[in-house]
Amino acid sequence: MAEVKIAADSGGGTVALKGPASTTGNAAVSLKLPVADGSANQHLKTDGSGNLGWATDTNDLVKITTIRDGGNVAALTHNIDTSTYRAYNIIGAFEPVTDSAYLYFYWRASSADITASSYEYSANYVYPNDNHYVESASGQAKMEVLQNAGNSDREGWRLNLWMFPNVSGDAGPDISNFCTWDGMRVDASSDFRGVQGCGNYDAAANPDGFTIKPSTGNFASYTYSLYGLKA
Amino acid sequence: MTRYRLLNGNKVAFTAEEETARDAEEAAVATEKAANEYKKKRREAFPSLSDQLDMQYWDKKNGTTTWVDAIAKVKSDNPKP
Repeated sequence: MAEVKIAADSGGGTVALKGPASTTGNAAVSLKLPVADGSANQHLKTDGSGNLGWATDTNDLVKITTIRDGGNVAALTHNIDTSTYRAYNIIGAFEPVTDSAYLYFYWRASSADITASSYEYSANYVYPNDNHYVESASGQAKMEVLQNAGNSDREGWRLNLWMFPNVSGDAGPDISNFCTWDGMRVDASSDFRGVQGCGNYDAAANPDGFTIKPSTGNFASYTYSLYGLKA
Repeated sequence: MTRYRLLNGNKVAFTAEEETARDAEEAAVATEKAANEYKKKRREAFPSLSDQLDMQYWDKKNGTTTWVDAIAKVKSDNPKP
């Protein structure tokens, strides 16, 4: 296979640029490099005629991380960058160690979960046979996102939650710091409940992170992705 | 046993303050659950409102006690602590 091999600057090893085993239709492909260096984090793109240039990723919704089972932990915490992202989305599946645990959400500031009794939330739980109930509360020390889940196979919580942190300079005093979510829980009897909910932190705060955790015990397993929506 | 937090994907041990706060939180959850769990179990065990209305209609029509029996069973199956 044809390649151009370049010796490392200090002489320690080489880097090779290789052609493919064959091109489509055995065409003679020519790619022309840009005339100058690009900016940080730019990537190469083609104009379809063999001319390469630098391009900036213009996606507003950016995947920040995907986490798959980082071990038994009592809390899942992420710092957030509100100068870059206006809103965050976390979507994933979570299972508690302890049967019938609830799933809580906390905003975070100065490296600590915010636990003042200023959370308010409501959620509608819908389940088979035309049944439903509503859970609603205010003056709470946490935002209750999903209720009791089981700890066996295919039980637990599935969650799609958007969070909108308050940022200094936002219109109105602290009208942000809210979450909306939909999801489901499968309890210790393997019974299913579909859920739509929303919640708010009704006090002054400019969060720099968030935490989700079971009401008691650890997470047994979890798989989730965190996305940021640019301002 | 030490608790851990997954912080930005990295496992870090709880601080002493976090351990104390988590102990208090779990104790409060246990207390609340002991006092109020029966209400939540009853809430999910009650027949749907449409089913209850249907029961009441037929009870009125037939002089039966289906609705009262159903509600009483949910209450007795999930007694107050």
